[in-house]
Amino acid sequence: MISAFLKRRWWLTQNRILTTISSALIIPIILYTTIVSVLNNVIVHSIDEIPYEHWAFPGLIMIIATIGLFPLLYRDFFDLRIHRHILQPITLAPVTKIEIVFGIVITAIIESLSFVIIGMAVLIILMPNPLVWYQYLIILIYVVLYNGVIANVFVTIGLVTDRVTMYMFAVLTFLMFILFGSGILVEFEFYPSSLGSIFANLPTSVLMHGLRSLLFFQRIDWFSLIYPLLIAVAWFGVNGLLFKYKSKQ
Amino acid sequence: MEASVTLKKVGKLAGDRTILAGMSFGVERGSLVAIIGDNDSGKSTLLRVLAGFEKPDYGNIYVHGLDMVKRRAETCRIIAYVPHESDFDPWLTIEQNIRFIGLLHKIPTHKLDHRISGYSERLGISEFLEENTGGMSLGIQKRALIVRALVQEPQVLVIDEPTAFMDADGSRMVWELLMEMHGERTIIYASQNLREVELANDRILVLHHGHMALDGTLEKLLATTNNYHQFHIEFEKLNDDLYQKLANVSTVVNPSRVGNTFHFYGRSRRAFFHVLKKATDAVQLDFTVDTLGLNDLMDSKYARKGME
Repeated sequence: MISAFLKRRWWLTQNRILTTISSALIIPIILYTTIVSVLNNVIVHSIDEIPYEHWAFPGLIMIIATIGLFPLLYRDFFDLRIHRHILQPITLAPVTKIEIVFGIVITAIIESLSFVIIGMAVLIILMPNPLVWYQYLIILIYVVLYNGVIANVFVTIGLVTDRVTMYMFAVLTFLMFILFGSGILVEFEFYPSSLGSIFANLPTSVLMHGLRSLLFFQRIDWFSLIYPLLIAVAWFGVNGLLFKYKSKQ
Repeated sequence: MEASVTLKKVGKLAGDRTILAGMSFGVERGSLVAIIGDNDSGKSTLLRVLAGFEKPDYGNIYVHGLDMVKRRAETCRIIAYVPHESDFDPWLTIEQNIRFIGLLHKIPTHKLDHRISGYSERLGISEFLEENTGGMSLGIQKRALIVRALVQEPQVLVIDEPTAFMDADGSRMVWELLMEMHGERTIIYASQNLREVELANDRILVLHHGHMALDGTLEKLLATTNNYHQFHIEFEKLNDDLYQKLANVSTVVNPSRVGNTFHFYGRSRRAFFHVLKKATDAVQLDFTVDTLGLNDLMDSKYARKGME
């Protein structure tokens, strides 16, 4: 089953390869020049005395992963579902709705991972190199987990909304929340303590915290791996049921 | 004959509105069944429910004896559906679109290659396989949708408007292929092209406001028209007085006029002579007498009354 979705993803990527590569090259440059180079002058060091550029590097990678993932899932679960009914013939194949959601999401995560690798290469050129080679591999593993959670949010929004305005409103709100509520660019210590302690328990925040602990202090936080993984797996199930409900089958 | 598809009191609602009202019928294996009806009569909904696209709100559907809801994975392998309009991914080529669905049905690659090339050639779309669907003619896309369904080698083929958007060549190729399959596979289709339906059917179902109004062979359906005939008489000049005089003839049913031609229905050919007798002073140029077809059955007021 998954091989069919992989082939489809490969064909789709092939048919717009130049757009994908040029976006993957440009987006890290935009993110670095408009966010990190500015905040670097404001924050300078993290609470743990890590230079801000180094501290923000994993966060930038997660933003790139989100940008790489969003159009793929928007297209499959909203645009093509609403406007061209393209998911319908897929639902008539002898596969379950959860398998369909899983197949589309996993292949989108794989494509976004290639997007991240290109972006990471660009950032390494732009920024003072903060990590050793195996740490980049660790980041990629966390990107997969992070995307597993984020992708399910995009799928849910894509399935529950039927109007473009509602979809865009929901997605933009969510992206703002992820950007500032997951410790991607700013530490929770800068937030009011009550708010910070709530945000710190979100799966994406736990994941970011675990990643930075591993990268900068060589401490493995297994909870930061298992918690988002369990959330992502459970959410796949929920999205499968939601897809079944929306397709009226 | 064994049943291919069986519906038991199948109903579909949209809010308070009934789209399909407790429909029950069976379709024999290998038969060619046409579904006709007015716009919004529930044809497309019935096909979507039959194909498994939508679950009925009540009732059961059995495909080769399997409950369509409880044994969905198995029935999905038996039925293939051709929608009215294209649902291809515009960023993929025709072949990629077809191949993807074939792979989801776990068809081995060599078989898929063989079937795609074979059916594409039969329907004259081989040269379009490598093209994206964006901007492609709707008729070609429709033929490609049929290829996509056929590569699954379904035992039951459900088609919404088999020749919609197609030119004469396309329609001929599609019907030649479907008629070859007739007898081996069950084919259920809906169409507004009543000439097509008259030529290709073992049985016709007529839907009216979500109900089954008529069900039977073409001959049986036309028998409900009580041997009515349709007449056209072209006059040199058909003025209002003459039209009223002819329309008031007691044996004339459902009269109408287009230019100088007087149209009417009559239960026997005698009606024609009654009209001629009233129009002895007018110059007549031409006339035709037809027995009724499906188009008249669906169009004429008296036949509609029969349905209701």
